[in-house]
Amino acid sequence: MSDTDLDKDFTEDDLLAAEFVLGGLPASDQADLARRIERDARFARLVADWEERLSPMAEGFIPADLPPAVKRALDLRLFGKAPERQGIWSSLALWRGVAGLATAAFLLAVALPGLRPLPTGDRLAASLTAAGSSVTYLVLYDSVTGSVSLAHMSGDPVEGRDFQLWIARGAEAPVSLGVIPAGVSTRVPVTSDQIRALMTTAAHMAISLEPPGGSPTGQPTGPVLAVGDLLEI
Amino acid sequence: MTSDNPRDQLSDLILRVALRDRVAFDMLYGATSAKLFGTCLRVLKDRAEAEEVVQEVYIKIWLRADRFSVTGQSPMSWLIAIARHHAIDRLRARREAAGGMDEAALTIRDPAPGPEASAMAAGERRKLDGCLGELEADRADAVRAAYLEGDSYADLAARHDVPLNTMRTWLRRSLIRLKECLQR
Repeated sequence: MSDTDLDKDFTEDDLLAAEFVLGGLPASDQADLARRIERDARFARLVADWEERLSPMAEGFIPADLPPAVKRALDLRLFGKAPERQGIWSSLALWRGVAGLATAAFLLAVALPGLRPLPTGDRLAASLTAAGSSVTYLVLYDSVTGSVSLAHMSGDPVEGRDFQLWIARGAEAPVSLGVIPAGVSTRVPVTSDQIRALMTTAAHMAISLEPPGGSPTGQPTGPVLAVGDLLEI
Repeated sequence: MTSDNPRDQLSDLILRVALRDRVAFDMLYGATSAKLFGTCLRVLKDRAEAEEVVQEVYIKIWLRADRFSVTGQSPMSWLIAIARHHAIDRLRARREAAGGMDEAALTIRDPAPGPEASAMAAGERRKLDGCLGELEADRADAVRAAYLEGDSYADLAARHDVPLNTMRTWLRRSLIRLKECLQR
């Protein structure tokens, strides 16, 4: 490739970044470019530069007050602070908006046919997704059975790499729940007291891409394929 | 909070949100939700829909706060970009569901930005306005309408009565000229 071609490529990418920021391309093109931002750091930088460059126009967005009910609804969607405990499926309906998985409850029921709500025990759920990754799982933890059920929603295995499941509380270092079979629904028994203690709404779970057999360091080394907060259901 | 600079304060809050700090999230919401709601409202022109979209915007901010530091953007432009793009996505989905362009896209609107201005950004604002002023008036209007109203190339082509490709060329050339002007 000659220097001229490189220049041309750079200009084309720069223009595409500018067009993405303007937002006028067809929705599918915008979505393609949004995905490219996630995996192409150089392109992401061009986009950020254009966001900054055009941002003075954003002064045309006049602040408008929001009713307090909007923040309450947001907290409910994000943190699952429902006013009262409800049955499992109706509660799932509350948090499925987090990942936009409109059919989450249905899929979870299909993926985990053995699952039945039990009369007692804490149940936590998380919807694991990440921008730029096609890997999506629903996680359900039941303190009675002490197992984590993983319903695979989307995303293919990566050849020569393993998926590893993690839990972390706040900014603390993640703790591994081990390598999971990639791209299928599965159950992971939780035998460690440390991990049982971590299973609260203060924690989030994640799946990272690791070398075969799992992370050699005991901490995630590869990209996070999917992440989500544990919510009470 | 370690700084009186609003930009640094917002950056601090976003970084704390990345660490799943809910107090920081509430503070960030308090400091920025009116602006982000205004952003969604201007693009969507529907209060109920904008209220729903602004929630999704904050869900996205909660989930993606860890990416903020790598963009090198100012915090407010990062937040507004999330809100703007999300509102535009919703606008496109709405029109698709309605089977094409809605009527609002075909009406002529005043693309002039509102009167609100912050002292910090005034210089940059003047500079960008000056550069937009160097473009032909209809092209500057098209750039503003795309940015502020979320108009698509198709909307703009219809409004200005030019073929879609012509509109895209207009905007691409306008963007190149804007960049050159801003670098002067």
